[in-house]
Amino acid sequence: MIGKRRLTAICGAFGTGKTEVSVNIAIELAAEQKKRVILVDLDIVNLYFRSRDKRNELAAKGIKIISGAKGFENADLPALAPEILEVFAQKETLVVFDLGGSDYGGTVLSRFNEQLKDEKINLWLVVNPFRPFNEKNKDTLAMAEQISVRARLPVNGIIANPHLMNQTTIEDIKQGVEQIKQLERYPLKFLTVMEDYYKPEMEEEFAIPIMVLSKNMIQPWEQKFTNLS
Amino acid sequence: MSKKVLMKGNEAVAESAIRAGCKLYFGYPITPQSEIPEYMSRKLPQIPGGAYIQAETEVSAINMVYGAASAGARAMTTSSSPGISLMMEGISYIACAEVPCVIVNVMRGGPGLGNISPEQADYFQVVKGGGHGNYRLVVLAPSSVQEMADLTYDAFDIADRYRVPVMLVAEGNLGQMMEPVEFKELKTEFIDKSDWALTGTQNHEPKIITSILLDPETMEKHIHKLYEKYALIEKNEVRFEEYLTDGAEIIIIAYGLISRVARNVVDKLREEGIKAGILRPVSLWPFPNEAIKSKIKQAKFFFVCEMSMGQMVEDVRLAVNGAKPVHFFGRCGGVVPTPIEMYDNVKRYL
Amino acid sequence: MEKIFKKPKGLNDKTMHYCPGCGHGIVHKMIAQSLEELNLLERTIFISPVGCAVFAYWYFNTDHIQAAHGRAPSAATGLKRANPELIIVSYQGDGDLASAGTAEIVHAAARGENISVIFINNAVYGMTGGQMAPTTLVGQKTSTSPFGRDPHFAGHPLKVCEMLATTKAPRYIERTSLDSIANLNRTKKAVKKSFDLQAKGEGFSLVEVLSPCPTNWGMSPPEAMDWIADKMIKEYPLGVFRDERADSEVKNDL
Repeated sequence: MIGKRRLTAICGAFGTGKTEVSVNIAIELAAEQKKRVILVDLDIVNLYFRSRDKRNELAAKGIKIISGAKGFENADLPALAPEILEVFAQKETLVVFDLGGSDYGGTVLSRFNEQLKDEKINLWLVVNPFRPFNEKNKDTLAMAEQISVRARLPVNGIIANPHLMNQTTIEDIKQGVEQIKQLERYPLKFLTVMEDYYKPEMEEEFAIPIMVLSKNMIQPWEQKFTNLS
Repeated sequence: MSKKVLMKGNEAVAESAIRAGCKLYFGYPITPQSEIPEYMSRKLPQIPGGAYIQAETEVSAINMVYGAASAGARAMTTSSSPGISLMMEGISYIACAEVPCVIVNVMRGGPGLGNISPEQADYFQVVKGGGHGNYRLVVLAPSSVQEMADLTYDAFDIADRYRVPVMLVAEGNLGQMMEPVEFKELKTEFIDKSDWALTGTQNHEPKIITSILLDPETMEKHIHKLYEKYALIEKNEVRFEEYLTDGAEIIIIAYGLISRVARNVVDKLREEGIKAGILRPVSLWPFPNEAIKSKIKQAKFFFVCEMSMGQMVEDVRLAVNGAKPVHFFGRCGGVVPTPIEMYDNVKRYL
Repeated sequence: MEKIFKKPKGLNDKTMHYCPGCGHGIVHKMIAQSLEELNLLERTIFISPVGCAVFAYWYFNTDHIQAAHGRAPSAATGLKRANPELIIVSYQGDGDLASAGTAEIVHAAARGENISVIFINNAVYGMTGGQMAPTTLVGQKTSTSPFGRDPHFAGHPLKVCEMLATTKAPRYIERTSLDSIANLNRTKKAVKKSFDLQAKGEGFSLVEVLSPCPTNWGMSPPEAMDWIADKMIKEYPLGVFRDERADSEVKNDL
């Protein structure tokens, strides 16, 4: 689903599910390719609900997270860790970059322009047409162009992530996919479906590869009492 | 396409404000509410007569709102706890000058610079004053993204109806989290403001919006007038929600997002045959005193849970007035209580 | 007999509360005259500051809003953005504009808000009883600089026109004085020009007026006028600091 490229960067409008998708791509790469996977959290835009919160859980799956400068993970301070530069030299490692929201989130990739000169990278846009800045395809296309400008790299794929959290219906996914398919300028790489409402027959119905997302962020009000004595 | 969209709480506030006819937004960036100015800066310049102005400080932002609302426009500012502290001067002026406007406070951890994690420790600041002088601030506390949208509408209506500032308070994570939201059809009552708004003197005698009343008797009279209005608000605008309180012996009182943690706890207690229910204040001022009083007879005890060291609990104690025990459990500093620890704490008193 | 001097329509019949020899009344009259001459009275919102002019609304036949200390430029921003048809007169003293509201005035100017700021500089806090102001001269005695302003503790006077002229957006910035007939005429012209520019949508303007405060300076009104001429103008040179917008359409591709 990810293809042969060693580097994948996930971008998109605010809250389209970039982090969720990035984490799941990293998990899939780690499981399938038996290589070291590094998830680089480059979200300099927003510090709530980010992949660095998942550090220990992902470490158990063989995924290393690189995020803000050590000791400053909770700071309201979008500092980049110096070790980010190393991932470009470690040619045996697979890398997933989780970018920040909107066109501005692409800016941070531009800073690595020098390192990215010699190596092709997947720069994939996550689209959820139920999100305000993806509601209209023309806005999504405009954002893809802006990200390309800011990142100094072309967006070269789209990930369809149509959902309404736990209220998603199959009908919603269907409508969402149809709308995203009209974004013809960029190849549609795959569709994501949350494990809660995934059904095998969807593969056939939508005729595009499906990545089943495992739920990563459990809010306190969603926690179950199964572990209570 | 479904009528629902997936939004962050902050975005829902911004979109709802625009739909309520707010074309003027003034604010200063601060985590965890920056999605509101970001959203406004994208949308408002595209609306005729709309303006997004990034103020130099929160102090300036609230005074820009004062100016815009004095011209009769629907105007809004938003911030997070430390920024709200800076706005208190302006809020006091606005309350005295009787200018309707909406302020949103997406609360973070304090005191001081604190952190960017969610907290409810602004209750004293916004419900009990914050600014100087005799005034009240209508404070609404949503607990879901849908309610962020709905109460933003209502906040503009309440503000216009009584010519008061209205504040929406949400914990940082409520501003940040995403949920499906549906924007209901606008049924806003646009009240005629021509008797007080500043529009020039073409058709009328000069009008004045001021908060200086030098003569003590005049000032006292004005304050009494404000308090007559506040009495009316206390009569008409109390909002709360009950969950399984019928016959409940344990009344959990929690507002905002953690009332949803409490729901989880109540479901578990009910499973065990323990009669527990939730009374969730939606308006923190006016506070649902009568609703709480009405539960005194049936309650074995009240259990207040807050993301603070205990602020709203004081109002609950005033309402209960010693008739039944009022227990408190709180986490602070940005820690969100888990259902399990809340459950364990309720059980301590059984 | 022909009436050659009459009270402007913008002022009502109340007797002003300002001390004899104070500059506020003079500038109030110039504002009212200018608004009348430009036929802008009915569109005007007057913003009074915290300071001696806090009750300016007692005298003007215009709509009026009273702003928090230093925040007049913010209230002005809100009003003008809500209704661009309004003519906004933001009237501030030196404590209000150059101390409590330094941030507000700098940023209103930097944004090029289409408002007129009339800035009364009398080098002292009048309302609160003659304390040191940000514009108090070095060595000037006030109730909180009893030995004269000492730069070691109080720094140097803030020069507002010079400071604001470093920003690009303002359309017009001038400093004038009330100490002579020539300077009175110059001031009246500047005030009127500021309103005219605003009505034409040209952008931010500020007129700083060096104004006497005989009561707090402890001088007779003529002595106060001399003190402006001898001392204040040396520290605060008169003149036009900006008479064109220095910015043009800026496009940023970032």
